[in-house]
Amino acid sequence: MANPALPAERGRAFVVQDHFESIERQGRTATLGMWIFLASEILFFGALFALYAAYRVRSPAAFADAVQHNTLYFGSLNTAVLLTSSFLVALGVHAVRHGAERKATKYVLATAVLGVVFLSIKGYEYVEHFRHGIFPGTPGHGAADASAFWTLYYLMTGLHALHVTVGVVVLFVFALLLRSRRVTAAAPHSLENAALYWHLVDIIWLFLWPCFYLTDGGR
Amino acid sequence: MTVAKYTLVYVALLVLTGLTFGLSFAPVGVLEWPIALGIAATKAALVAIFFMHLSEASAAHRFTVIVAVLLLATLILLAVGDVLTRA
Repeated sequence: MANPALPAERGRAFVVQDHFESIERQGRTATLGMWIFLASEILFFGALFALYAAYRVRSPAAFADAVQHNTLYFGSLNTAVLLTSSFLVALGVHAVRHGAERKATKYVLATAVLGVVFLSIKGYEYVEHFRHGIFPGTPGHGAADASAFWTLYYLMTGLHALHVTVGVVVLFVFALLLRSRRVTAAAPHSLENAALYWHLVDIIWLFLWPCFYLTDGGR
Repeated sequence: MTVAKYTLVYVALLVLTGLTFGLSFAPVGVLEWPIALGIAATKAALVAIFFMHLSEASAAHRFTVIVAVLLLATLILLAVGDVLTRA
């Protein structure tokens, strides 16, 4: 049982609980819990990707045409933004593992900022679509079949953006925890697990990008 | 994992991103989806194995994600197969 009177334990955000032998054991269990959660998220988004696949196979021309109404450059920029953010948070976890909490704080903060950049670009894209009269459930400027595309676009990227928002908030909280040394090299698992969530958000986008920006049937 | 290794993976991810981007302009015809998905899956694997430390993780951790991916593949294959084989 951690003794709060000891300086090392005071103010630590995550201390070893009674039913675990050590902080390492506890950390590994928490990581397994996070992986199980990520697996459920894969299935959650996966169901929507299955919908996309079924509708796409049914109306390939309408979908390919609709893809052209998304701005490839914004989508690609967002891909680069998220990949960079994954790289930075991985460096942040690496820094914490090696006791460099100050550096880790900066990496985690930078990751959160890139998340905000992603959301800004996405938000701008939505506004532009609305201005051009492309709403969920409408065929946009295409055939009637294209309404499935746009509904899925708003649903899937919107859900993803929600996940990005949660991730950004969590990362800002961790930047604060790192700055106040409540997360340290002695127990880096909480940050590692938060980073795992962020990487999954990045991976989901890696599949959203071809679905909605790249596969326009040849330009 | 060293910082150098992380950087190498990041550069590989950017290169693959550029590759998909470039290929989206090429007249690849029916190969469009296999290429796009193949490269996306490769990038996802790189992120999972190196950034998410699956290479160092225990079998239990890897098992969860393998099961999820297999279930998802089954769902997609059957849903697509259903639509394709309708009259």
